[in-house]
Amino acid sequence: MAELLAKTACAGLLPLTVGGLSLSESAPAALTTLAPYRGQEQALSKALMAAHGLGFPAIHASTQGKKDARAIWFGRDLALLIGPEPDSRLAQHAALSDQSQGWAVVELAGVGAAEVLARLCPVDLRAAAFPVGASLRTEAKHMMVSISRLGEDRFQIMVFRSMARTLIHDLKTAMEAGAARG
Amino acid sequence: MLDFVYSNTFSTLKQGRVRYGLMLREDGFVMDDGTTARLGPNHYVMTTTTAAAGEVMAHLEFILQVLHPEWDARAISVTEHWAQFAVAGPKSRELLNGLLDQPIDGDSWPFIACGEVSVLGVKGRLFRISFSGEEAYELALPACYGDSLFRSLLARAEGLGGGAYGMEALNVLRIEKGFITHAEINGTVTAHDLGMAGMLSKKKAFIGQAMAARPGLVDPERMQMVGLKPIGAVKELSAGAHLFSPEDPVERIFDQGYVTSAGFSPLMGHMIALGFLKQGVNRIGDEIRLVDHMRGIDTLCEVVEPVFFDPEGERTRG
Repeated sequence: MAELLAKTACAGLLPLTVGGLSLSESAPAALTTLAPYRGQEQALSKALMAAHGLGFPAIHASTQGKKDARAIWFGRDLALLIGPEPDSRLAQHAALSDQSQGWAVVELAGVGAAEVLARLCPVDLRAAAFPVGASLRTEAKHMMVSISRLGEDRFQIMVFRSMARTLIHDLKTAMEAGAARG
Repeated sequence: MLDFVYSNTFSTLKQGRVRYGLMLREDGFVMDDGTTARLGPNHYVMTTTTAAAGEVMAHLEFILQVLHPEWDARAISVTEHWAQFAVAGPKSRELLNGLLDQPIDGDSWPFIACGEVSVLGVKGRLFRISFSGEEAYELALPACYGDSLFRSLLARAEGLGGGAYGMEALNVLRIEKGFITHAEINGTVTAHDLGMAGMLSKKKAFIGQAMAARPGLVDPERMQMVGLKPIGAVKELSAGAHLFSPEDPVERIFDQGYVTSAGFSPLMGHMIALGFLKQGVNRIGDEIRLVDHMRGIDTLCEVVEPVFFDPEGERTRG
């Protein structure tokens, strides 16, 4: 019997290195949007803590839980659970949608990563305005993105899966332009 | 909420079934059409036209945030998570049964059925819906399997004497069936114009209901959707052409309507078209002159019903 082969969003495109910067695909096991029902945000946060060791993230923030579990702010009354399959009890408090294959998740790392993103995004991603743990939705070259700061010089960037190639092209171009300046 | 956003009723839709729906804008004109499938007691997946996906998403958010903030429902796009393919034709079921871990039959998957399936060990969704007029299914798997699934479907289709069909073929198939796209629902047409007045429920409130009842929107003098087939020496029809009564001069003030979609139908052996014509429903069988100055086309057409093929839908139901 034939088999179906799975391809990640950035298969064949990453990793790449330009100067001191690297771009790689994260491809987390699962991505789930958590959309709390009316007045359920706190109850959802408790359930998240019990199941995954993290709370519901505040606006423009993220939370870190057990093992690789993370939750990032993903829009109005919305969070994205990254890593684990969601505990079934969360469904009592929120609409859960499997988005695992809907997003390309990449990591840009190295000194000058914020300057690369500054070439593509209209928001201030410098550490003073966007510290480690911060997460927001913005645009990169007209593509809607989610950006999270994982470390001082480490960012997670997400776009819709169908836009992976364009994002990587734009990031690579910005990385090369940055490197050319020295 | 679905009853409010669609002009027809969705509260009677059973779990495991799909329904076609029409949405109006607040001003009473048609905004979009599509299907909604009931996956669970309180879980639905809505499809929109590609052209209006963003507009409908914003519309749903507007309803939830502004018009009915008391409703406890959430809407989110899952378009990117799924790779979904249409499998259409008399052998579509045979093709699918070569891939599905549990074969389906007409009783377990009648027209408009939907539900979870397993495809070579991967969980997905199957919808028995048809935009081609054939017995057809749409199979969705997580996007990471999209490439592999398409290759597998294509190889099996070719083994059965079929193949991939593109947008042009799809367009011809849907014109033959009189199915609308945004070529027809161009923002200036009403449900009445489309012959879909029956989809405006009288039993519940929905967006656009009041404004759709304005005299100007239900005026029988309005242009209504019709089919066209060539009867003159010139057999070419074109979208964008305008329609005139054969006895009138070809001048703007005599304009009777316009063509929205056209294509060559191998089934009919000639070109067919959909368009809007003043009092069109009363002019079936009449001759009309089609003029396209840009492409230099001037031909006579017969006004026909907008459904060219299988009006009873027997092929779709298998």
